Amino acid sequence: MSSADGFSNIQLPAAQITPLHALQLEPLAGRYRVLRQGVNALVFAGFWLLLLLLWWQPWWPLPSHLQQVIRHALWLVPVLGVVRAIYCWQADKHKHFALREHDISYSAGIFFRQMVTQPVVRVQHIELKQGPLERKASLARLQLFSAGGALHTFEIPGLWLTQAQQIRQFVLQHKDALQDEQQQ
Amino acid sequence: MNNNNESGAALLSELSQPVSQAEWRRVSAIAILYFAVAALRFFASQLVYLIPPAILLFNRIKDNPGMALGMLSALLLMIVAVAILKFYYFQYRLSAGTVEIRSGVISKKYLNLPFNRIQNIKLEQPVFYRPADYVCLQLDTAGSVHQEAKLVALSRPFAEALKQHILDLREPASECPQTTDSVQQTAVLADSAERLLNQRSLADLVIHGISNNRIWLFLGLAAPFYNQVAEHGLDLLLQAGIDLPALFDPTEQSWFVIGLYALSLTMFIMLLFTVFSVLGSVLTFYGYTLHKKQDNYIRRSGLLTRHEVSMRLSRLQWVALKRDWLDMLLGRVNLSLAQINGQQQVNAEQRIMVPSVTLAEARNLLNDACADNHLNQITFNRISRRFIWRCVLLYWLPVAVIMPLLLWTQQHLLLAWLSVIPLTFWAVLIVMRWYRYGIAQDEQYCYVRRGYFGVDYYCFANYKLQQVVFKQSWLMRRAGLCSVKLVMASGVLEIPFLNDITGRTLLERGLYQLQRSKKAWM
Repeated sequence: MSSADGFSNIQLPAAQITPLHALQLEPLAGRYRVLRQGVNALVFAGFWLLLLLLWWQPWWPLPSHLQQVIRHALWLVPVLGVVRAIYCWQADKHKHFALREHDISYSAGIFFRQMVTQPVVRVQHIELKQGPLERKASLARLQLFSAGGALHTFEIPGLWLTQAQQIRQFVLQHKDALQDEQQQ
Repeated sequence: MNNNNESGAALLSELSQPVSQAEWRRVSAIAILYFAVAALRFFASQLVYLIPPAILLFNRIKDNPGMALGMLSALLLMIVAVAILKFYYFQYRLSAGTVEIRSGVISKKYLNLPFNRIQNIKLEQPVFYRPADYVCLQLDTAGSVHQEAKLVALSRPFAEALKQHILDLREPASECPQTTDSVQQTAVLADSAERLLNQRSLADLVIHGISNNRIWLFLGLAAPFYNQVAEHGLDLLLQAGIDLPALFDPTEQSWFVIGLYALSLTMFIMLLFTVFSVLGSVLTFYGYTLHKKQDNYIRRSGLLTRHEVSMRLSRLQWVALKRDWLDMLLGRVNLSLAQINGQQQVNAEQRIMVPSVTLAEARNLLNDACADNHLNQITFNRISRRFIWRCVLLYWLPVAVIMPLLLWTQQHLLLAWLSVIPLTFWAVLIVMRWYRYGIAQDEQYCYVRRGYFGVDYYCFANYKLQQVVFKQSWLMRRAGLCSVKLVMASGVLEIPFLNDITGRTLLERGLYQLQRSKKAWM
């Protein structure tokens, strides 16, 4: 049944109300994972090259204990790089988001899984951020700020720019978000 | 592209158009100066770290001033370039109900801020803006501690008109209660007189001083002066005919007498501390009254400086009833009404706390703030015993094995045996923590219980939630457990090791209530 002022309270079958644990989660953009792998590889390769240069350079004789450290670091750094790459690949696979009519959820974590749910009506303001590499890859990070404080800013990384813009528009055009906050 | 000199009317026409028709604008070019000063400030703050190497290299710089000058001018040039780029990329757009800001040279930021979410508007005028009368317009929401949006160089009339427009948008809402029908208006008038909710007598404040020891704060502050105080104290005691070192000398006294002296001295010091704590309590809370006028709570107290703090009921986020073990023995409760804890951070003096009320008074105050709450009847969901095992295995057991073993190997047998006392105390603390944890929810409110020997209760309306977090580790998932985190404007409450169905239902119901009620959180 619906009335003239636009309020409706039509009965919904229970199956239509999606509980949080049954949400169909959407993965982040595939390019986000590739980008993270690239950055990881570059950082570790750069660090490894720096160590190699330090090892080979003829101008400054290294103290013997430093030589020992660098010798071990030269094999340890690539190993750490590979471990981190595997971890990031798996971790990024477990990052998902989902939209319901009134809230947005973001889940992450391999062993320690957590799902943050942000009701749209509690969003204070929205920011869309793009670093230089994200801009090249047409990716964006969406941040939703609530009164829960800076520590609890809701963030979804690795969205396609158009997707992030659509979600921003969804939040801005949400009928509850547009109502006046002061009104009881 | 300087469009800042429009009149208020032009601004209003701009503010009524939809986003799609609104134009992106740049602020006045004087913003370059603003960005340059900001960059200069940043470099100056970093310069502190460069002082030590500069001192070391002073001679080299003296020999080669050209290079130093070159570096300095390069730095200045960089600041100018940064400022120009920042100005070029700083754009804003005003449309019906929203301000949007695009900024950032390398890392881009795009901010959307609806006007109705703005809590605070501030006009700031740096010295160099004064001649041309430009201002910075800062728009704050409750979203974070930093200024969310800053329009860096607007002409004053434009900024004033915009500020007025945003304030006007808020006005009708705050006037809403007054424009109701006549029956309600008379009710409002009848309610406009202050109603006394609670007051504290001197005896209550003495109890508060005893049960809430404020002396630790005093002791912490006095730590640097311990030595002088001890010497001075010993001199004074000597003059009074008491020689403390002689009293505690085992060659002159028997152990039993020394023990008695030690006991009485400890008792005396404890008594002294308690007296100080009582004095502190009386100083802060003397003449304490809590009134209610319409929807406002007004707290007045203080012996020397009278403090008056008022808070609207709608700003209340949760009511906390806190009792430590001494409060449990004395049958008292410290009740606090918590409000937003973000950028409008309230310090201890501004918090509305009712010290050491009796259980019946606490119940009345709680019923006043949260009508129809069921804190007294509701059954709390306990957390799993796995909480104890986790704390014991992860923290307690390693320490309980390593510490006595270390002491044993270093021949401190007595200490190794004595370490059993703190370890047992710690174990009891873990068990008590588990015992106290609990959560419950009804149609309107959510109740959280936690504590050690004492117990704290939190009661809040479901619609005050800002965000919810559901956490589950791999082991927890296997055992059907979870942790839930309830984020509110006044802080975060986390309940670990809860049955996962209970946890999910709790979050789902909380979200449902908040989305269904459509009530504002403040």
